[in-house]
Amino acid sequence: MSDNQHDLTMPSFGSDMRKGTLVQWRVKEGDSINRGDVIAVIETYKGAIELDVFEDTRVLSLLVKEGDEIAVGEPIARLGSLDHSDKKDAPEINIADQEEADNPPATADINETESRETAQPSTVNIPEQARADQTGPPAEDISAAEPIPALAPALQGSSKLAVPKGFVLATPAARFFAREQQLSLTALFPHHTKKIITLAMVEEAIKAAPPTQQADKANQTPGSAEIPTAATKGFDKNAMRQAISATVSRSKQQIPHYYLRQRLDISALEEYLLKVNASLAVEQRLLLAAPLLSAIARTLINNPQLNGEYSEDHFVSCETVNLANAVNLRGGGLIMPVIRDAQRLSPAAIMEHLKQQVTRARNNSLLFSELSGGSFTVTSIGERGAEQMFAVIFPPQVAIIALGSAHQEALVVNGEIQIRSVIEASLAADHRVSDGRTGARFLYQLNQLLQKPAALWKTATPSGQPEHNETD
Amino acid sequence: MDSDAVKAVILKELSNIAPEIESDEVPADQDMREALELDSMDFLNLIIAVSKRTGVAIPEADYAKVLTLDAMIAYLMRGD
Repeated sequence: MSDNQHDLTMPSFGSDMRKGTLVQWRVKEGDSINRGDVIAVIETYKGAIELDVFEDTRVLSLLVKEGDEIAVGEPIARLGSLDHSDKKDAPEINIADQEEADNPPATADINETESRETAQPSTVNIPEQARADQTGPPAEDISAAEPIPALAPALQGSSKLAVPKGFVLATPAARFFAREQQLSLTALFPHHTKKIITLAMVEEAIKAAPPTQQADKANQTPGSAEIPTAATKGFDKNAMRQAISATVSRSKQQIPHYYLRQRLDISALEEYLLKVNASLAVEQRLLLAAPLLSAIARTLINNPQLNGEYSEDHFVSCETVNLANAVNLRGGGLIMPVIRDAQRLSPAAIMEHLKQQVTRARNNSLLFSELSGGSFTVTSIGERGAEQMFAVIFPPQVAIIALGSAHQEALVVNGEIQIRSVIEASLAADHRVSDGRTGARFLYQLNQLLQKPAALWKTATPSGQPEHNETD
Repeated sequence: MDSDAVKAVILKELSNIAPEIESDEVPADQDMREALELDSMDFLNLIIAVSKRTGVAIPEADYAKVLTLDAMIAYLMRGD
């Protein structure tokens, strides 16, 4: 078994997804693929989603057929480096047995779950596979995205453990994060030592390999234009309703929410935006949502207790703001594409993401990478909706902001009554992670930032340009 | 472009944005955003599309003048 082989598993497009149908393979065995390439189309209740990969690798074998329905976490393909392509004809070898035979003492003194973990050379999907054997409380089963608790201490504790070839020792947080990012620990750390990989090390390694911005363009190449649209029937309304129901029920049962309300005065922002838009061609104009999301992301980066994931009884804050933005689908669905690194993006760049994501969500062509890894969610009621809304936290995140409709109110400003444009914002946050004071500070800072809208446009990306200039 | 042609352009672009909307469901004199449940992104996309097709620029300050189908047709005709 090579160090570089690993299984690609059916990914979870959210903690509310349990299975997906592989509609179409877009690669064949033996193909070399690059980070950002779309490898398959997966049909879920959210509609058809293009599964893009997060690494440069090679397809050794496809483990499922088109049309198969696969549970989240089940292997769908074996990937590996070019050096090991000679093994592609032998995907059925029972690797676990082989490894166990090679290393009997290693697994003798640890419990069954661990032995499975230790014996499995493919690291990405282990937590789910091990989970399947666990008999936990039923509520746990709702989320396939949740890693199993208590593996890391046991592994760290057994220092004399002989590590099977091809298995990377890692903390659950590191493993979970890598899996969320669709990365294999073996690929990330090809020359790993016996040292246990931590979350920080994974993040470091990912930073070292910057993400390609080519995924979108790759999908528009002439070569992919002829791909039959096998899955254009849209999302499954009933299944989505059930999934939303399962998620919010679990969230309400398990997460002790606290709520805060803050009136955001957006008069200055509206005025500034009107000026900005007046000088722009129609296809470059910004909606109010763009600078609002930008302001939220920039404020969040200073409030780490609201930005991250809670799992295994502890909270891990996220170093970047990966802003999930709730998009309503016509016909009554909800989908939450993620804008990564949103704290670095100009309002124009955010607008470009919003446009693309809304278009793709409604055309049923979202990429997997756009639907995973959110660290905070924003939901907006829209222009003509209710003045205020209270949202349910989307696990494993720990906070969500809900924006009511923009409207005018008579406010007292500097001792005078003025007509101002306002949005009622409400924050729901996880009391296990933060207290009301944290949430209040966040909302206060957000409102302060909105009073100086020019600041949102001043901070550009390092290149001095918005990330996405191209429009159609 | 006569008013029927302009109307056809608008209805075509509306159906691109919201495929389930039937042409005869689009009211002539009601706020399209409300009647057709268009959100701000849908409406912006409609403005972009009809501007492109007709060559008539619609500044943001004029959005209030193009909220109904009839008003949008009239606006685009004037701009011709």
